Amino acid sequence: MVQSNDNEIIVGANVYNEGTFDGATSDINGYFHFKTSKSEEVNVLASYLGYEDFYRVIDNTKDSIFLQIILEESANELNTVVITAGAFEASDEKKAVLLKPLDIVTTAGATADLAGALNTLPGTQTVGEEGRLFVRGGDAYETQTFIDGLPVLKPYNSSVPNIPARNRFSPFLFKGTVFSTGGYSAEYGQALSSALLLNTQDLAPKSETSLSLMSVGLALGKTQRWDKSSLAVQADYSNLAPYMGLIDQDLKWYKAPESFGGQFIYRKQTSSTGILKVQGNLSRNILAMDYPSAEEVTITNRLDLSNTNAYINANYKEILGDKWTLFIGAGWNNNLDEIQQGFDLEERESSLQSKWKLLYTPNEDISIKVGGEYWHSNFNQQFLDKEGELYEIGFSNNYTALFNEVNWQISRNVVARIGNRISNTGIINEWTWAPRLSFAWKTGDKSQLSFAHGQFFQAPQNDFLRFERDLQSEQATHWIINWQRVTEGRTFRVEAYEKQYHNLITINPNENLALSNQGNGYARGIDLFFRDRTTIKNGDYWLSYSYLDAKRKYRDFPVKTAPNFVSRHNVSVVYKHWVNQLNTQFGLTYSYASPRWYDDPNTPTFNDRQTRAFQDLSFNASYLTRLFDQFTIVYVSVTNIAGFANSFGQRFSTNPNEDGLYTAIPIQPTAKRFAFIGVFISFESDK
Amino acid sequence: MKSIYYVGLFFFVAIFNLNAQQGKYQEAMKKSISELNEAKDIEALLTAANSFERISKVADKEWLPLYYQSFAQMQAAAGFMGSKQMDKCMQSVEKAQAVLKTALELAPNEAELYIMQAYVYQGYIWEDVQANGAKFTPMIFGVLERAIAMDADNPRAYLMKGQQTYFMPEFFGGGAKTALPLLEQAEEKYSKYTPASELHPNWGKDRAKALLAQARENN
Repeated sequence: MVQSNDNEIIVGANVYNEGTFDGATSDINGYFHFKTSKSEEVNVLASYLGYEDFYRVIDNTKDSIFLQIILEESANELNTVVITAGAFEASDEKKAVLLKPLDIVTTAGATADLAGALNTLPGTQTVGEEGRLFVRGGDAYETQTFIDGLPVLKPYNSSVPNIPARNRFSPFLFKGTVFSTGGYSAEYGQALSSALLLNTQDLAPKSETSLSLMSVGLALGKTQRWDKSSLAVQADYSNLAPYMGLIDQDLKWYKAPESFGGQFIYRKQTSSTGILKVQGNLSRNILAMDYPSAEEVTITNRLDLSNTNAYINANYKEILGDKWTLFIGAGWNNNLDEIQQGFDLEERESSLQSKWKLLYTPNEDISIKVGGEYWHSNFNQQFLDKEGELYEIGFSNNYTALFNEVNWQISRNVVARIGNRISNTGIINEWTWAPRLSFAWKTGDKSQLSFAHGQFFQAPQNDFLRFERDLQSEQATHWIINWQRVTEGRTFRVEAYEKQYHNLITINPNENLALSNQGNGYARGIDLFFRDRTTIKNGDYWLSYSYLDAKRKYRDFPVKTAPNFVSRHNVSVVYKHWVNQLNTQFGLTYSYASPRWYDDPNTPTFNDRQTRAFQDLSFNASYLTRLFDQFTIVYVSVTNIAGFANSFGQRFSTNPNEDGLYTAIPIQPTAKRFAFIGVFISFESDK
Repeated sequence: MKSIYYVGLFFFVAIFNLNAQQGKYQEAMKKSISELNEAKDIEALLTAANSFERISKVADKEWLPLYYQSFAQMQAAAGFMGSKQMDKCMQSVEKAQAVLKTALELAPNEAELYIMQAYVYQGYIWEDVQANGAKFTPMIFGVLERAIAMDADNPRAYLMKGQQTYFMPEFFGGGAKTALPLLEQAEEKYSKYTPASELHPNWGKDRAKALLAQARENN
């Protein structure tokens, strides 16, 4: 009879004489019997999905033989521990993930913006006037976005200070997202706080045409699927003028934001295990508004901003033989920002990135990864000031890195990962070594404990490299520990972390604004996450809470204190509900962030003023129907339906007025609410 | 989306050539196919699946044993789902997919394998209709269209297409009305079809007839 190593009876196991048709299936009681031809020995094989094959050579001299077979459970995703410290994964591929890609799109308040949806996860601080990701007490530049492993230069569209930016990429492009809030793999670098890893979709399943009509614009796309390849092309245009004409804005727009662009996505399956991906997008956005002048904020002038951005990424992945996987990729980014407000600023940034990676899996318990990267970037800035003086500055930088990582599944219940990253930043002539370590233990049937520690470096930002080359990279040391329990439909996760920052860039006002790396800081806190998809029928909700204590001395800070993007408490409650009779999914998101500190130059103390607490209640609904006999989604969303009066502090003039006072204007959202409606139609190409 | 997306056990009729056939392979296959035909419960289906697995290990260049093994596992999966044993159901679906993958490597241009792939994709939809419906439905039609491109006379492709359409929610383009022409097409193809050999798949005629009658009633 057949049993498992847990003493359970196995029904349906295949027990047979290897190399013949003779065999039987274990019945409801685990018993089997079969006859086979006479021979001295019989090679008995028993197999059952989810268990290791059983093999034994039996003496076939007797007329009948009784055989007790015990099958060992084999390692699989659900019973094997994985490292989860510092990472939130959203993917369709794996089962033990906390989010599905569709979750990102359907979260209210996000208006299908990737950063907006990620802001409802723990570890992020809501900084409403920015629109970018601020992770665990780190500044926005400390989070780096990677698409298929290659860094993206400008993942957000260009905006002016205090007008939120939006992520450039549609969440539908990605089959998997890993949002790492710290302690991420040695494969990635140049991000002090967090890495947002986006993995693009594989071959499109079928050909189709899609049309999107929105209150802010339209998009048209066509996907063609061939036997082993697919190509998707899309063009989009958006213009906020009609919307702003209807709804009162608190700012005056000369030209409401207008953008147009196109993208293509090509996939080719080069073999049964290989895939080539080439994708790119090109976009241009323009706006002109009445914007406060920096020197005297109560006076506004017309500001014109235009941005042109081109991005292309090609990568190839193939499995070689039994144990090797190869990845090579290259990307090219070119971004041009032009801003005029009496002055004329032109900033051009371009970069070429390349990466190769080899994965060796000698057996199912060990995998070894090695790889390297080479990035070449150019930065050029031309500034024509109000008096007509032209300043030009430019530089180029070569960044090289080598990384290795060993993932060792010590047992079903313990896994360890050790990695190293060595890199060189040409322009500051600096070598860094960043070791990283993480492990996880299974503490129970459905729960596990995970730990991560490592060093993270990031070269100084372009704004500083412009003026000074004798600088070091900024550095952060992470310590993270988490415990999570995942059951059918419910997830609970708690994570505690400590980050120590060293060598942060400082500007010394007493030394003619000299730049050096004298800054330091810390960020520590606890994040909680709870998700429940079963208690309420057709309902799905998650709660996330972050507690953060962070202080730093960097840039022009005279003392070590909490920077203005840090809030002590951040809460998000997300609820989604499907109503069958209406074919509609409704969503509601509530967010709260405790007050943040900002500086008033009129007072002697630094960062001693507080904003109001931030609150938002957003709503969305997706109605599935048919229009022109084609599958259609009607999507409606409204942010801040409760009409909270949020304020993000004050913006002060850089120069004092005649009374020696620095005047100020409040920083507020551009409008109290943002309402959006869109109709997405998918046309069947061949029917 | 709680609309009924799946169907219970398939019924099919195999037509045997009763002339004696030489070769152990032919004999073993015929025996196992008849085991599969006569299977009335999950245990019998798994026994048939295992018989095909043993044959496939010996006759390792043939796609047919793997095809039937996959088919038997999918039938078992449907049975498990009927008795609400979702974890065992998904185990069978995973096994069916793994076996089908091997079969496709042996015979990448065989239409029947793409039709079976559509059935396996349906299995993944059973796991979580909300999360997987939108992903796998286009894949099901994609793979059936490839099957039709390879063999326009194969009735099972039209049956699967019609069945999938019949049980899909209306806003996805499904329902009795849109399914009707597809099912009529399936019946027509069945009436003209003869399999390449007595071992080749020949199931679904009764199912097509039954579904067509249902579709006509609900129109």
